[in-house]
Amino acid sequence: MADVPAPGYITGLLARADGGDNAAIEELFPLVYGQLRLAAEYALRREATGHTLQATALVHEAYLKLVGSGPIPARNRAHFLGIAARAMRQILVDHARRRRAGKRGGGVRAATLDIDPADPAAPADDVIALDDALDRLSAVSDRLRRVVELRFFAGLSEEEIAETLGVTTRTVQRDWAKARAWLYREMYPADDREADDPT
Amino acid sequence: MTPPEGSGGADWARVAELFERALDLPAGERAAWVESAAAGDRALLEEVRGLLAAHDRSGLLDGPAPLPPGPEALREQLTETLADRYAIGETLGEGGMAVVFLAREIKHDRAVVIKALRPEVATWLGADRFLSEIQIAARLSHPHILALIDSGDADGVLYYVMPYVGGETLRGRLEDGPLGVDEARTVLRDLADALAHAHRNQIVHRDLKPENVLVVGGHAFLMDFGVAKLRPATGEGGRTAEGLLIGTPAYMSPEQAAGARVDSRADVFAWGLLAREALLGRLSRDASLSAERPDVPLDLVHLIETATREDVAARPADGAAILAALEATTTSVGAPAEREPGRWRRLWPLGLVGVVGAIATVLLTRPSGPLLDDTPGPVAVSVFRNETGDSTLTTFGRMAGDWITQGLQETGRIKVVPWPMALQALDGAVDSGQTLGAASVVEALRAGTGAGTVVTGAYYAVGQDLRFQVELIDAASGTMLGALPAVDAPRDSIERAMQLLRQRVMGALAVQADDRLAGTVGPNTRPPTYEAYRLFERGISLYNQLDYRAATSSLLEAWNADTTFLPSLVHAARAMLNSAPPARTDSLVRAIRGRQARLTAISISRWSTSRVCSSDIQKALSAARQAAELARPAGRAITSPTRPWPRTGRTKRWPRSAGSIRAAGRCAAGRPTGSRSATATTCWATSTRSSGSPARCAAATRRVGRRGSTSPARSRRPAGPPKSIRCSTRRPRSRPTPTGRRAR
Repeated sequence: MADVPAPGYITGLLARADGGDNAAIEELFPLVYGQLRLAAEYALRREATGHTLQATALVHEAYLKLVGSGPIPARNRAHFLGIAARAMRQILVDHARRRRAGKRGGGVRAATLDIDPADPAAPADDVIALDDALDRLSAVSDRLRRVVELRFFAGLSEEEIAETLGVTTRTVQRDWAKARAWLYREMYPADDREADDPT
Repeated sequence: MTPPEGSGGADWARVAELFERALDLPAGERAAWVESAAAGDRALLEEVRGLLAAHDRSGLLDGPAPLPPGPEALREQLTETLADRYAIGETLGEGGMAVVFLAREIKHDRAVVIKALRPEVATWLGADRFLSEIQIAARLSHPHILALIDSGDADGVLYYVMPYVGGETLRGRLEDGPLGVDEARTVLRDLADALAHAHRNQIVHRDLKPENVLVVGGHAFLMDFGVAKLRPATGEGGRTAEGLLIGTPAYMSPEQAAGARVDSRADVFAWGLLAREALLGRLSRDASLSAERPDVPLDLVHLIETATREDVAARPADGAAILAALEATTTSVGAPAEREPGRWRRLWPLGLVGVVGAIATVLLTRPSGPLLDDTPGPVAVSVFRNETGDSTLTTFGRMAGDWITQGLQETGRIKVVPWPMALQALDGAVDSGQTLGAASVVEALRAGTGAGTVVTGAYYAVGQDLRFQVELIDAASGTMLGALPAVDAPRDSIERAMQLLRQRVMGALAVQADDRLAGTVGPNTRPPTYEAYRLFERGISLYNQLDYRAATSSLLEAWNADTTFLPSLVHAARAMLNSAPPARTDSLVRAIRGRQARLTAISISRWSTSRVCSSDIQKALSAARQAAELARPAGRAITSPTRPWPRTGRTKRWPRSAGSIRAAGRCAAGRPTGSRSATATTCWATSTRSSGSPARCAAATRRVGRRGSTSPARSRRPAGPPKSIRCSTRRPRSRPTPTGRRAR
């Protein structure tokens, strides 16, 4: 029952987005979001155990569904992936935000972001912390923010990210290292001193 | 959260450069290298050290991003929060924005559908906005708009509740292929009607598409009103949400897609696209409708084209404009692409009903069948369902049932289950205090009273008015035989509505029991008032006795009694053509032409038969064959085509005409009871006469006389050969022919 508009329609929007048309991006976003959201659920049902999200698979599936397999300009594809990554981020953040607002017990199952392996009980609030930190990161370097979105939320490979951003793979690796370290310091400043249990 | 530090004390470009270069070194050499590279810049050194430490410690983001919760989570939350009001059942469907559950409303013990917005969507919208917008939609009450029963915020899950009406979405229906012209016309008309109502109330749907249309018993219900209008609350839920529109770009008008202000004409556009999809079987903005569907009348094609104009100003203004234009289009005379009943499939399976309780609301998911020749059992009238949401109005439900029952008894022509007996059957089916679904009502009445046909209905609040809707249901199969046009009345003068309602039901049932009208009055044709029907019936009897003058006057009286029942007018014109100079019928012919859109296919075809047979034999024959096809379900396949045969059949065509006459004879012989065979026999007699067999004509005429005497309406006349059948093969040249055109 998902509403899948004709691939040509999406391609047209992508072309408009590439031409700097913000309205096109705004229109694309909910489409990509909805598609990914649905795909994520089907994935969950297929793999009832474990949260082994194949974000890559989801994003690519959404791409095929929405854009089709025909040739479209690489820049348009890059736009799509950028939007998809952002949509995936939004999906998780919105969920976490609801959960924090609610804390109703039972009900919606927590989607815990396994942010720090050293602390398996990390609260879901960390997704929100990550979201906030990403916003601040984008003020430092927007490219780093995009690298994180593409890699963590959309599950793209370094090569795909390089292609999407029009940089070398090496740059992507460096950006990733910088972004991750920067985010960690941003999110766990207490680690520099002594632990200050957030719970 | 701490304030940003990363760029606070040092230049980020330098920090990044040192950090990158340090990472290129073996881990053990980094600290010393950074210290020297910072060259005494303390802030810079701190930053880079911090990042390196974080880099060493961080497994951050190495794991996969987690999955969002599935629909099961939504169900759990709804189940828990709404436990005292709704029992949540099976998932009926899900889209990117919402999940749809079947549920049972505990208070009224009825099946409902709960649509729950996904939490992310809810966050974007904001609960207050959602609840206030949905409030606007809740004001809409219309027979073709799926009512909003309830809405709320279940601990963060925003939901709204609609009645469960069964059926399937138009999307599901289209999976079986494109709609036939008549089927599409009904659906499009219903939707235009629904939109007209919404637009009158200043509400634009904005998301009209096959997924939002439920098809039940051939009729369409529009759902999700007002939801599409929701836009995210500003400042809530994050930046990317701004500009989010829950809509479907594929059906969006250009101005809506461009984010411009939209009005009712955006719905008109979506209606046009939906019409194209219904007829083409796929959504295409480019395909040529008239090329792919030559059976669609051109004026309908034109209307659809106008609705889908890119230029807003060139479209019809609103739902009311489409509705008016649609009703002015010609009814298809092409063979209807009838749907095979066996392929009727439900998207919302009724098996689910067991999950939520014994009571389903409506089981009427089969398409309307042809009207029956005979009513197998008596007619039972049920208590009307109160869908107003106001329990003080419940009395009207019983009043309607009682009143209609009385009226039917008074006709003396229809076998009716007495009201107390019907009530007993209904009360016996449930303990009381519960509202029975329509299907259970039908079953209870069938089992309790042996009813063959059940009259059931409901009433809704429409502003200050109440709107009554009635359905006739075949009790054995649960098939809807027909839905009557709704009757509206102000709450304080409900008797008038009851009166009209009763008249209509009586008219419909009388018509239904009369096979002379089979096919003339389709399930979607407005039935006459009983008074009009009585006059009509007398006129037809006179017509069949070839007393055209008296028939004309009776039929015109019928037309004056109820100017919505077109068969009166059609038959009046036919009668007049047989008895008066053609010029006199011109005004009637014009009146019929002006209302052609409301004729059923068989009426049109009959009409065209008599219109064309004077000039074009081939057209007359093909119209006759169509009439035969259309009449087949009612067992009238033979009589109709024979009508034009003798008229068009000159001597050289005799052999083919003879075949028809023999067929008409068989038809007459096979249908021996009362007035039912009179038409066929008359026809046979007429055929025989005009084809030149005086002996047969005489025999047939005698039979007409005999059979005619069994008809109550005809018993006033002496039995014997009706005067105007002439058995001479040589007709006087001056005698008006049936068409009245050819005579001179």
